[in-house]
Amino acid sequence: MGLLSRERTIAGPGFNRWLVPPAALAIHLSIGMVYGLSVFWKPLSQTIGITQPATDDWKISTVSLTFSIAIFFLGSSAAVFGRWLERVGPRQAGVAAACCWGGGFLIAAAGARSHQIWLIWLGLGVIGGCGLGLGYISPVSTLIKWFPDRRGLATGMAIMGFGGGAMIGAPLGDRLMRHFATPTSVGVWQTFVVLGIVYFLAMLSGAFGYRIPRADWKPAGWQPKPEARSMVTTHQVHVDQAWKTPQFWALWGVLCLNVSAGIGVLGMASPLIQEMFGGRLIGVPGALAQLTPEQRLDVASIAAGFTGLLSLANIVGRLGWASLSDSIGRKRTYMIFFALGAVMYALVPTAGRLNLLPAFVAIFVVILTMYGGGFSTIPAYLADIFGTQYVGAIHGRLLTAWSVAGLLGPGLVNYIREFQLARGVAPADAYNVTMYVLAGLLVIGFFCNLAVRPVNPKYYLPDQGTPVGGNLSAKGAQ
Amino acid sequence: MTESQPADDERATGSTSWVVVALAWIAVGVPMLWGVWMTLKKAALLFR
Repeated sequence: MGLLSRERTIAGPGFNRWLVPPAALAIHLSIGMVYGLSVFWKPLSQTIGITQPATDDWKISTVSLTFSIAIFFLGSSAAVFGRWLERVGPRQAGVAAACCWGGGFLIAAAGARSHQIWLIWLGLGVIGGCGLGLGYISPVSTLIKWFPDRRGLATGMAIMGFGGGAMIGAPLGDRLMRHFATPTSVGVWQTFVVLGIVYFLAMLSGAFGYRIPRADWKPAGWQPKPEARSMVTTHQVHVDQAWKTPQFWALWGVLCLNVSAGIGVLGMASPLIQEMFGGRLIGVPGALAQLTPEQRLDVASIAAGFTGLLSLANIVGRLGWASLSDSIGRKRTYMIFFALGAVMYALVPTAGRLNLLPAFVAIFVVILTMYGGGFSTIPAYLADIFGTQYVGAIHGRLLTAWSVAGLLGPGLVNYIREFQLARGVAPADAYNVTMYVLAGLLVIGFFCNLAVRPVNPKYYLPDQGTPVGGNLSAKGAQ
Repeated sequence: MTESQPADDERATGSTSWVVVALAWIAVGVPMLWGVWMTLKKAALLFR
Protein backbone atom coordinates (compact mmCIF):
# COMPACT_ATOMS: atom_id res chain seq x y z
CA MET A 1 0.00 0.00 0.00
CA GLY A 2 1.67 3.22 -1.14
CA LEU A 3 2.20 6.20 1.07
CA LEU A 4 -0.05 8.26 -1.19
CA SER A 5 -2.81 5.71 -1.59
CA ARG A 6 -6.34 6.52 -0.64
CA GLU A 7 -6.42 3.73 1.95
CA ARG A 8 -3.46 5.28 3.81
CA THR A 9 -5.38 8.53 4.24
CA ILE A 10 -8.39 7.06 6.02
CA ALA A 11 -8.53 8.59 9.49
CA GLY A 12 -8.18 6.44 12.53
CA PRO A 13 -10.41 6.66 15.57
CA GLY A 14 -9.87 9.85 17.50
CA PHE A 15 -8.82 11.94 14.53
CA ASN A 16 -9.93 15.53 14.96
CA ARG A 17 -11.67 16.78 11.82
CA TRP A 18 -10.52 20.35 12.53
CA LEU A 19 -7.05 19.30 11.32
CA VAL A 20 -8.32 19.00 7.75
CA PRO A 21 -9.19 22.68 7.07
CA PRO A 22 -5.63 23.92 7.83
CA ALA A 23 -4.27 21.22 5.51
CA ALA A 24 -6.62 22.47 2.80
CA LEU A 25 -5.67 26.07 3.56
CA ALA A 26 -1.97 25.26 3.14
CA ILE A 27 -2.73 24.20 -0.42
CA HIS A 28 -5.21 26.94 -1.28
CA LEU A 29 -3.06 29.73 0.17
CA SER A 30 -0.21 28.48 -2.04
CA ILE A 31 -2.12 28.20 -5.29
CA GLY A 32 -3.96 31.47 -4.58
CA MET A 33 -0.70 33.19 -5.53
CA VAL A 34 -1.90 32.95 -9.11
CA TYR A 35 -3.83 36.20 -8.44
CA GLY A 36 -0.60 37.83 -7.26
CA LEU A 37 1.52 36.92 -10.28
CA SER A 38 1.01 40.44 -11.63
CA VAL A 39 3.81 41.67 -9.33
CA PHE A 40 6.23 39.88 -11.68
CA TRP A 41 4.99 41.29 -14.99
CA LYS A 42 6.79 44.62 -14.84
CA PRO A 43 10.16 43.20 -13.66
CA LEU A 44 9.86 40.43 -16.26
CA SER A 45 9.39 43.10 -18.92
CA GLN A 46 12.79 44.55 -17.89
CA THR A 47 14.97 41.46 -17.51
CA ILE A 48 17.40 42.76 -20.15
CA GLY A 49 17.08 46.51 -19.67
CA ILE A 50 16.96 46.09 -15.84
CA THR A 51 15.91 49.68 -15.05
CA GLN A 52 13.69 50.15 -18.10
CA PRO A 53 12.43 47.93 -20.92
CA ALA A 54 15.04 47.25 -23.62
CA THR A 55 14.28 46.52 -27.27
CA ASP A 56 14.55 42.75 -26.78
CA ASP A 57 12.58 42.73 -23.56
CA TRP A 58 9.15 41.11 -23.42
CA LYS A 59 6.06 43.27 -23.46
CA ILE A 60 3.87 43.21 -20.37
CA SER A 61 1.02 41.83 -22.49
CA THR A 62 3.30 38.92 -23.47
CA VAL A 63 4.24 37.92 -19.93
CA SER A 64 0.80 38.56 -18.47
CA LEU A 65 -0.61 36.01 -20.92
CA THR A 66 0.78 33.49 -18.42
CA PHE A 67 -2.13 34.30 -16.08
CA SER A 68 -4.76 33.58 -18.73
CA ILE A 69 -3.06 30.30 -19.64
CA ALA A 70 -2.93 29.30 -15.97
CA ILE A 71 -6.64 30.04 -15.41
CA PHE A 72 -7.56 28.16 -18.57
CA PHE A 73 -5.61 25.10 -17.41
CA LEU A 74 -7.07 25.46 -13.92
CA GLY A 75 -10.60 24.95 -15.25
CA SER A 76 -9.58 22.30 -17.76
CA SER A 77 -7.53 20.19 -15.38
CA ALA A 78 -10.19 20.38 -12.67
CA ALA A 79 -12.73 19.08 -15.19
CA VAL A 80 -10.45 16.37 -16.61
CA PHE A 81 -8.81 15.13 -13.40
CA GLY A 82 -11.79 15.42 -11.04
CA ARG A 83 -12.78 11.80 -11.47
CA TRP A 84 -9.19 10.64 -11.05
CA LEU A 85 -9.07 12.59 -7.81
CA GLU A 86 -12.15 10.80 -6.49
CA ARG A 87 -10.48 7.48 -7.32
CA VAL A 88 -6.98 8.05 -5.92
CA GLY A 89 -7.91 10.30 -3.02
CA PRO A 90 -6.95 13.83 -2.01
CA ARG A 91 -3.40 13.12 -0.87
CA GLN A 92 -2.17 11.91 -4.25
CA ALA A 93 -3.93 14.82 -5.95
CA GLY A 94 -2.43 17.24 -3.44
CA VAL A 95 1.09 15.90 -4.03
CA ALA A 96 0.58 16.12 -7.80
CA ALA A 97 -0.63 19.70 -7.35
CA ALA A 98 2.46 20.51 -5.25
CA CYS A 99 4.76 19.07 -7.93
CA CYS A 100 2.99 21.01 -10.68
CA TRP A 101 2.76 24.37 -8.89
CA GLY A 102 6.19 24.24 -7.22
CA GLY A 103 7.78 22.70 -10.31
CA GLY A 104 6.04 25.25 -12.50
CA PHE A 105 7.81 28.05 -10.62
CA LEU A 106 11.16 26.30 -11.13
CA ILE A 107 10.55 25.93 -14.88
CA ALA A 108 9.51 29.58 -15.03
CA ALA A 109 12.72 30.47 -13.18
CA ALA A 110 14.70 28.75 -15.92
CA GLY A 111 12.66 30.71 -18.46
CA ALA A 112 13.30 34.03 -16.73
CA ARG A 113 17.03 33.29 -16.41
CA SER A 114 17.47 32.16 -20.02
CA HIS A 115 14.93 34.68 -21.37
CA GLN A 116 12.71 32.02 -22.92
CA ILE A 117 9.09 33.12 -22.66
CA TRP A 118 7.75 29.71 -23.66
CA LEU A 119 9.29 28.22 -20.52
CA ILE A 120 7.37 30.72 -18.41
CA TRP A 121 4.14 29.94 -20.24
CA LEU A 122 4.80 26.21 -19.90
CA GLY A 123 5.90 26.39 -16.26
CA LEU A 124 3.49 28.79 -14.59
CA GLY A 125 0.80 28.63 -17.28
CA VAL A 126 0.35 25.02 -18.40
CA ILE A 127 1.98 22.91 -15.68
CA GLY A 128 1.29 25.41 -12.92
CA GLY A 129 -2.29 25.77 -14.16
CA CYS A 130 -2.80 22.01 -13.85
CA GLY A 131 -1.46 22.30 -10.30
CA LEU A 132 -4.03 25.01 -9.63
CA GLY A 133 -6.90 22.84 -10.83
CA LEU A 134 -5.79 19.77 -8.90
CA GLY A 135 -5.02 21.78 -5.79
CA TYR A 136 -8.29 23.70 -5.93
CA ILE A 137 -10.55 20.66 -6.01
CA SER A 138 -8.36 18.34 -3.91
CA PRO A 139 -9.82 19.19 -0.47
CA VAL A 140 -13.42 19.95 -1.47
CA SER A 141 -14.86 16.46 -1.40
CA THR A 142 -12.89 15.55 1.73
CA LEU A 143 -14.03 18.61 3.66
CA ILE A 144 -17.66 18.06 2.73
CA LYS A 145 -17.43 14.49 3.99
CA TRP A 146 -15.86 15.61 7.29
CA PHE A 147 -18.38 18.41 7.79
CA PRO A 148 -21.76 17.12 6.59
CA ASP A 149 -23.31 19.32 9.26
CA ARG A 150 -21.43 22.46 8.11
CA ARG A 151 -20.58 21.96 4.47
CA GLY A 152 -20.57 25.66 3.65
CA LEU A 153 -18.27 26.56 6.51
CA ALA A 154 -15.88 23.76 5.58
CA THR A 155 -15.53 24.63 1.91
CA GLY A 156 -15.56 28.32 2.77
CA MET A 157 -12.50 27.88 4.98
CA ALA A 158 -10.51 26.24 2.19
CA ILE A 159 -11.65 28.40 -0.70
CA MET A 160 -11.05 31.51 1.42
CA GLY A 161 -7.38 30.53 1.14
CA PHE A 162 -7.45 30.74 -2.63
CA GLY A 163 -8.70 34.31 -2.37
CA GLY A 164 -6.05 35.11 0.25
CA GLY A 165 -3.01 33.55 -1.40
CA ALA A 166 -2.09 36.71 -3.30
CA MET A 167 -2.20 38.76 -0.09
CA ILE A 168 0.75 36.74 1.16
CA GLY A 169 2.49 35.88 -2.10
CA ALA A 170 2.44 39.31 -3.76
CA PRO A 171 4.20 41.26 -0.96
CA LEU A 172 6.49 38.29 -0.34
CA GLY A 173 7.43 38.14 -4.02
CA ASP A 174 8.01 41.88 -4.03
CA ARG A 175 10.35 41.68 -1.02
CA LEU A 176 12.24 38.71 -2.47
CA MET A 177 12.78 40.52 -5.78
CA ARG A 178 14.15 43.55 -3.92
CA HIS A 179 16.43 41.22 -1.96
CA PHE A 180 17.78 39.43 -5.04
CA ALA A 181 17.94 42.45 -7.35
CA THR A 182 21.45 43.45 -8.49
CA PRO A 183 22.69 45.92 -11.12
CA THR A 184 22.58 43.03 -13.62
CA SER A 185 19.42 41.21 -12.51
CA VAL A 186 15.86 42.16 -11.61
CA GLY A 187 15.80 39.22 -9.17
CA VAL A 188 12.81 37.43 -10.67
CA TRP A 189 14.29 34.02 -11.39
CA GLN A 190 15.79 33.74 -7.92
CA THR A 191 12.41 34.72 -6.45
CA PHE A 192 10.71 32.05 -8.56
CA VAL A 193 13.13 29.43 -7.21
CA VAL A 194 12.46 30.40 -3.59
CA LEU A 195 8.69 30.57 -4.09
CA GLY A 196 8.68 27.26 -5.96
CA ILE A 197 10.40 25.53 -3.05
CA VAL A 198 8.28 27.26 -0.40
CA TYR A 199 5.01 26.44 -2.17
CA PHE A 200 6.09 22.86 -2.86
CA LEU A 201 6.83 22.25 0.82
CA ALA A 202 3.69 24.04 2.03
CA MET A 203 1.47 22.09 -0.36
CA LEU A 204 3.21 18.82 0.44
CA SER A 205 2.57 19.34 4.15
CA GLY A 206 -1.07 20.11 3.32
CA ALA A 207 -1.41 16.99 1.18
CA PHE A 208 0.03 14.80 3.93
CA GLY A 209 -2.34 16.45 6.39
CA TYR A 210 -5.37 15.25 4.43
CA ARG A 211 -7.41 12.49 6.02
CA ILE A 212 -10.68 11.06 4.77
CA PRO A 213 -13.35 9.79 7.12
CA ARG A 214 -14.37 6.17 7.24
CA ALA A 215 -17.45 5.30 5.25
CA ASP A 216 -19.67 5.06 8.31
CA TRP A 217 -18.36 8.13 10.08
CA LYS A 218 -20.55 11.04 11.01
CA PRO A 219 -20.26 13.85 13.55
CA ALA A 220 -21.32 12.97 17.07
CA GLY A 221 -25.03 13.47 17.55
CA TRP A 222 -25.67 14.60 13.99
CA GLN A 223 -28.44 13.10 11.87
CA PRO A 224 -29.14 14.01 8.23
CA LYS A 225 -32.45 15.78 7.74
CA PRO A 226 -35.30 13.79 6.22
CA GLU A 227 -35.12 14.15 2.46
CA ALA A 228 -38.80 14.72 1.72
CA ARG A 229 -39.12 18.09 -0.04
CA SER A 230 -35.59 18.92 1.02
CA MET A 231 -32.92 20.44 -1.22
CA VAL A 232 -30.34 18.23 0.50
CA THR A 233 -30.25 14.69 -0.86
CA THR A 234 -28.97 11.63 0.94
CA HIS A 235 -28.61 9.85 -2.41
CA GLN A 236 -25.62 9.87 -4.74
CA VAL A 237 -25.40 10.85 -8.40
CA HIS A 238 -22.44 9.60 -10.44
CA VAL A 239 -20.29 12.29 -12.04
CA ASP A 240 -21.02 10.89 -15.50
CA GLN A 241 -24.76 11.22 -14.83
CA ALA A 242 -24.60 14.56 -13.04
CA TRP A 243 -23.67 16.58 -16.08
CA LYS A 244 -26.64 15.14 -17.97
CA THR A 245 -29.08 16.65 -15.47
CA PRO A 246 -30.66 20.10 -15.91
CA GLN A 247 -29.57 20.87 -12.35
CA PHE A 248 -25.90 20.70 -13.34
CA TRP A 249 -26.38 23.21 -16.14
CA ALA A 250 -28.54 25.48 -14.00
CA LEU A 251 -25.75 25.52 -11.42
CA TRP A 252 -23.19 25.99 -14.19
CA GLY A 253 -25.11 29.10 -15.21
CA VAL A 254 -25.37 30.22 -11.58
CA LEU A 255 -21.58 30.04 -11.13
CA CYS A 256 -20.76 31.47 -14.54
CA LEU A 257 -23.05 34.50 -14.22
CA ASN A 258 -22.12 35.27 -10.62
CA VAL A 259 -18.40 35.04 -11.43
CA SER A 260 -18.70 36.95 -14.74
CA ALA A 261 -20.18 39.97 -13.01
CA GLY A 262 -17.67 39.95 -10.14
CA ILE A 263 -14.54 39.18 -12.13
CA GLY A 264 -15.45 41.90 -14.61
CA VAL A 265 -15.31 44.65 -12.01
CA LEU A 266 -12.49 43.10 -9.97
CA GLY A 267 -10.14 43.34 -12.93
CA MET A 268 -11.18 46.92 -13.65
CA ALA A 269 -11.53 48.16 -10.06
CA SER A 270 -8.52 50.46 -10.16
CA PRO A 271 -9.26 52.34 -13.43
CA LEU A 272 -12.97 52.30 -12.60
CA ILE A 273 -12.71 54.29 -9.37
CA GLN A 274 -10.06 56.59 -10.88
CA GLU A 275 -12.13 57.43 -13.94
CA MET A 276 -15.47 57.73 -12.12
CA PHE A 277 -14.20 59.98 -9.33
CA GLY A 278 -11.04 61.51 -10.80
CA GLY A 279 -9.68 64.38 -8.71
CA ARG A 280 -12.51 64.08 -6.21
CA LEU A 281 -10.57 61.19 -4.65
CA ILE A 282 -7.95 63.68 -3.44
CA GLY A 283 -10.28 66.62 -2.93
CA VAL A 284 -9.39 68.33 -6.21
CA PRO A 285 -12.00 69.22 -8.84
CA GLY A 286 -11.63 67.84 -12.34
CA ALA A 287 -11.50 64.58 -14.25
CA LEU A 288 -8.51 62.24 -14.23
CA ALA A 289 -7.16 63.61 -17.51
CA GLN A 290 -7.05 67.13 -16.06
CA LEU A 291 -4.81 66.21 -13.10
CA THR A 292 -1.07 66.76 -12.81
CA PRO A 293 1.23 63.68 -12.88
CA GLU A 294 1.75 63.97 -9.11
CA GLN A 295 -1.98 64.15 -8.48
CA ARG A 296 -2.50 61.14 -10.71
CA LEU A 297 0.01 59.18 -8.64
CA ASP A 298 -1.95 60.05 -5.49
CA VAL A 299 -5.17 58.96 -7.17
CA ALA A 300 -3.50 55.69 -8.28
CA SER A 301 -2.39 55.00 -4.69
CA ILE A 302 -5.94 55.44 -3.45
CA ALA A 303 -7.19 53.18 -6.23
CA ALA A 304 -4.65 50.53 -5.13
CA GLY A 305 -6.12 50.80 -1.63
CA PHE A 306 -9.58 50.30 -3.11
CA THR A 307 -8.37 47.16 -4.91
CA GLY A 308 -6.85 45.87 -1.66
CA LEU A 309 -10.11 46.44 0.16
CA LEU A 310 -11.98 44.51 -2.52
CA SER A 311 -9.55 41.58 -2.08
CA LEU A 312 -10.37 41.51 1.60
CA ALA A 313 -14.09 41.66 0.86
CA ASN A 314 -13.65 38.74 -1.53
CA ILE A 315 -12.00 36.67 1.22
CA VAL A 316 -14.46 37.62 3.96
CA GLY A 317 -17.32 36.74 1.62
CA ARG A 318 -15.87 33.32 0.90
CA LEU A 319 -16.05 32.35 4.56
CA GLY A 320 -19.03 34.46 5.63
CA TRP A 321 -21.56 33.66 2.91
CA ALA A 322 -20.65 29.97 2.73
CA SER A 323 -21.10 29.68 6.51
CA LEU A 324 -24.39 31.55 6.37
CA SER A 325 -25.60 29.17 3.66
CA ASP A 326 -25.46 26.36 6.24
CA SER A 327 -28.24 28.17 8.10
CA ILE A 328 -30.38 29.69 5.36
CA GLY A 329 -29.76 27.14 2.58
CA ARG A 330 -27.74 27.35 -0.63
CA LYS A 331 -30.62 28.30 -2.90
CA ARG A 332 -31.63 31.21 -0.71
CA THR A 333 -28.01 32.34 -0.46
CA TYR A 334 -27.70 32.57 -4.24
CA MET A 335 -31.09 34.31 -4.40
CA ILE A 336 -29.56 37.00 -2.19
CA PHE A 337 -26.43 37.17 -4.36
CA PHE A 338 -28.40 37.70 -7.53
CA ALA A 339 -31.19 39.96 -6.21
CA LEU A 340 -29.01 42.14 -3.98
CA GLY A 341 -26.18 42.08 -6.52
CA ALA A 342 -28.40 43.32 -9.35
CA VAL A 343 -29.63 46.21 -7.18
CA MET A 344 -26.08 47.04 -6.12
CA TYR A 345 -24.72 47.13 -9.68
CA ALA A 346 -27.64 49.30 -10.77
CA LEU A 347 -26.85 51.78 -7.95
CA VAL A 348 -23.19 52.24 -8.93
CA PRO A 349 -23.79 54.95 -11.60
CA THR A 350 -25.96 56.90 -9.17
CA ALA A 351 -23.32 56.74 -6.43
CA GLY A 352 -20.72 58.00 -8.90
CA ARG A 353 -22.94 60.79 -10.25
CA LEU A 354 -23.80 62.03 -6.74
CA ASN A 355 -20.13 61.84 -5.70
CA LEU A 356 -20.96 59.45 -2.86
CA LEU A 357 -17.55 57.80 -2.43
CA PRO A 358 -18.36 55.93 0.84
CA ALA A 359 -21.53 54.53 -0.73
CA PHE A 360 -19.61 53.61 -3.90
CA VAL A 361 -16.96 51.76 -1.87
CA ALA A 362 -19.60 50.06 0.31
CA ILE A 363 -21.48 48.87 -2.78
CA PHE A 364 -18.37 47.27 -4.27
CA VAL A 365 -17.38 45.72 -0.94
CA VAL A 366 -20.79 44.00 -0.75
CA ILE A 367 -20.57 42.96 -4.42
CA LEU A 368 -17.13 41.41 -3.89
CA THR A 369 -18.24 39.52 -0.79
CA MET A 370 -20.94 37.93 -2.94
CA TYR A 371 -18.44 37.19 -5.71
CA GLY A 372 -16.26 35.29 -3.22
CA GLY A 373 -19.29 33.70 -1.60
CA GLY A 374 -20.35 32.34 -4.97
CA PHE A 375 -17.13 30.37 -5.29
CA SER A 376 -17.16 28.94 -1.79
CA THR A 377 -20.85 28.06 -1.58
CA ILE A 378 -21.06 26.17 -4.87
CA PRO A 379 -19.31 22.95 -3.65
CA ALA A 380 -21.80 22.66 -0.80
CA TYR A 381 -24.66 23.35 -3.22
CA LEU A 382 -23.41 20.53 -5.45
CA ALA A 383 -23.12 18.17 -2.49
CA ASP A 384 -26.69 19.04 -1.47
CA ILE A 385 -28.03 18.32 -4.95
CA PHE A 386 -25.84 15.41 -6.15
CA GLY A 387 -24.64 13.83 -2.90
CA THR A 388 -21.15 13.80 -1.43
CA GLN A 389 -19.65 10.77 -3.17
CA TYR A 390 -18.58 12.39 -6.45
CA VAL A 391 -18.80 16.02 -5.45
CA GLY A 392 -15.09 16.63 -6.08
CA ALA A 393 -15.33 15.42 -9.66
CA ILE A 394 -18.64 17.19 -10.29
CA HIS A 395 -17.17 20.40 -8.86
CA GLY A 396 -14.19 19.97 -11.16
CA ARG A 397 -16.45 19.84 -14.21
CA LEU A 398 -18.48 22.80 -13.00
CA LEU A 399 -15.33 24.90 -12.81
CA THR A 400 -15.39 25.14 -16.61
CA ALA A 401 -17.99 27.85 -15.86
CA TRP A 402 -15.16 29.80 -14.22
CA SER A 403 -13.04 29.54 -17.36
CA VAL A 404 -15.90 30.90 -19.46
CA ALA A 405 -16.63 33.64 -16.93
CA GLY A 406 -12.97 34.63 -16.97
CA LEU A 407 -13.40 35.54 -20.62
CA LEU A 408 -17.00 36.78 -20.51
CA GLY A 409 -16.81 39.18 -17.56
CA PRO A 410 -13.66 41.17 -18.37
CA GLY A 411 -14.51 40.99 -22.08
CA LEU A 412 -17.93 42.56 -21.49
CA VAL A 413 -16.59 45.28 -19.22
CA ASN A 414 -13.74 46.20 -21.57
CA TYR A 415 -15.80 46.01 -24.75
CA ILE A 416 -18.68 48.13 -23.45
CA ARG A 417 -16.26 50.70 -22.01
CA GLU A 418 -14.38 51.01 -25.31
CA PHE A 419 -17.67 51.22 -27.21
CA GLN A 420 -18.91 54.00 -24.93
CA LEU A 421 -15.66 55.95 -25.22
CA ALA A 422 -15.74 55.60 -29.01
CA ARG A 423 -19.24 57.11 -28.96
CA GLY A 424 -17.87 60.17 -27.17
CA VAL A 425 -19.13 59.33 -23.68
CA ALA A 426 -17.01 60.92 -20.91
CA PRO A 427 -14.65 58.43 -19.17
CA ALA A 428 -16.43 59.08 -15.87
CA ASP A 429 -19.70 57.84 -17.40
CA ALA A 430 -18.23 55.07 -19.56
CA TYR A 431 -19.00 52.36 -16.98
CA ASN A 432 -22.68 53.20 -16.45
CA VAL A 433 -24.05 50.96 -19.18
CA THR A 434 -21.62 48.21 -18.12
CA MET A 435 -23.09 48.23 -14.63
CA TYR A 436 -26.61 47.85 -15.97
CA VAL A 437 -25.48 44.97 -18.22
CA LEU A 438 -23.81 43.23 -15.28
CA ALA A 439 -27.00 43.73 -13.25
CA GLY A 440 -28.85 42.08 -16.16
CA LEU A 441 -26.49 39.08 -16.00
CA LEU A 442 -27.36 38.68 -12.35
CA VAL A 443 -31.09 38.77 -13.14
CA ILE A 444 -30.54 35.86 -15.56
CA GLY A 445 -28.53 34.11 -12.83
CA PHE A 446 -31.47 34.60 -10.45
CA PHE A 447 -33.70 32.58 -12.77
CA CYS A 448 -31.03 29.89 -13.27
CA ASN A 449 -30.93 29.49 -9.51
CA LEU A 450 -34.71 29.47 -9.34
CA ALA A 451 -34.67 26.51 -11.74
CA VAL A 452 -32.58 24.35 -9.39
CA ARG A 453 -34.72 21.53 -8.02
CA PRO A 454 -33.89 18.15 -6.49
CA VAL A 455 -32.52 15.68 -9.04
CA ASN A 456 -34.87 13.22 -10.70
CA PRO A 457 -34.47 9.90 -8.79
CA LYS A 458 -33.70 8.09 -12.05
CA TYR A 459 -30.18 9.60 -11.85
CA TYR A 460 -29.49 8.24 -8.36
CA LEU A 461 -26.97 5.46 -7.94
CA PRO A 462 -28.42 2.24 -6.52
CA ASP A 463 -28.30 2.45 -2.74
CA GLN A 464 -24.89 1.09 -1.67
CA GLY A 465 -25.44 1.87 1.97
CA THR A 466 -23.03 4.76 1.72
CA PRO A 467 -23.72 7.21 4.53
CA VAL A 468 -23.61 10.97 4.22
CA GLY A 469 -20.11 11.36 5.52
CA GLY A 470 -18.78 8.39 3.63
CA ASN A 471 -16.58 7.69 0.67
CA LEU A 472 -15.87 4.73 -1.49
CA SER A 473 -12.59 3.00 -1.98
CA ALA A 474 -10.94 2.99 -5.37
CA LYS A 475 -12.71 -0.24 -6.12
CA GLY A 476 -16.06 0.98 -4.88
CA ALA A 477 -15.75 4.18 -6.83
CA GLN A 478 -15.45 2.18 -10.04
CA MET B 1 -7.38 0.33 8.83
CA THR B 2 -10.24 -0.25 6.46
CA GLU B 3 -13.27 1.77 5.66
CA SER B 4 -15.59 -0.90 6.97
CA GLN B 5 -14.51 -0.51 10.59
CA PRO B 6 -17.28 0.59 12.93
CA ALA B 7 -17.71 4.23 13.67
CA ASP B 8 -16.73 5.72 16.97
CA ASP B 9 -18.40 9.07 16.90
CA GLU B 10 -17.35 10.38 20.29
CA ARG B 11 -13.71 9.51 19.95
CA ALA B 12 -13.64 10.66 16.36
CA THR B 13 -13.65 14.26 17.46
CA GLY B 14 -11.95 14.03 20.82
CA SER B 15 -8.62 12.19 20.85
CA THR B 16 -6.30 14.30 18.70
CA SER B 17 -4.55 16.76 20.95
CA TRP B 18 -5.94 20.27 20.62
CA VAL B 19 -2.33 21.47 20.79
CA VAL B 20 -1.72 19.79 17.45
CA VAL B 21 -4.86 21.35 16.03
CA ALA B 22 -3.84 24.78 17.35
CA LEU B 23 -0.35 24.45 15.87
CA ALA B 24 -1.80 23.52 12.47
CA TRP B 25 -4.05 26.57 12.53
CA ILE B 26 -1.20 28.82 13.64
CA ALA B 27 0.95 27.54 10.77
CA VAL B 28 -1.61 28.76 8.21
CA GLY B 29 -3.08 31.57 10.29
CA VAL B 30 0.10 33.57 10.85
CA PRO B 31 0.98 34.03 7.15
CA MET B 32 -2.66 34.80 6.42
CA LEU B 33 -2.83 37.47 9.13
CA TRP B 34 0.41 38.96 7.79
CA GLY B 35 -1.20 39.14 4.35
CA VAL B 36 -4.36 40.73 5.76
CA TRP B 37 -2.23 43.29 7.63
CA MET B 38 -0.28 44.20 4.49
CA THR B 39 -3.53 44.58 2.55
CA LEU B 40 -5.15 46.69 5.28
CA LYS B 41 -2.14 49.01 5.25
CA LYS B 42 -2.64 49.49 1.51
CA ALA B 43 -6.40 49.90 1.88
CA ALA B 44 -5.92 52.54 4.59
CA LEU B 45 -4.92 55.01 1.87
CA LEU B 46 -8.54 55.03 0.77
CA PHE B 47 -9.64 56.53 4.09
CA ARG B 48 -6.84 58.97 4.83
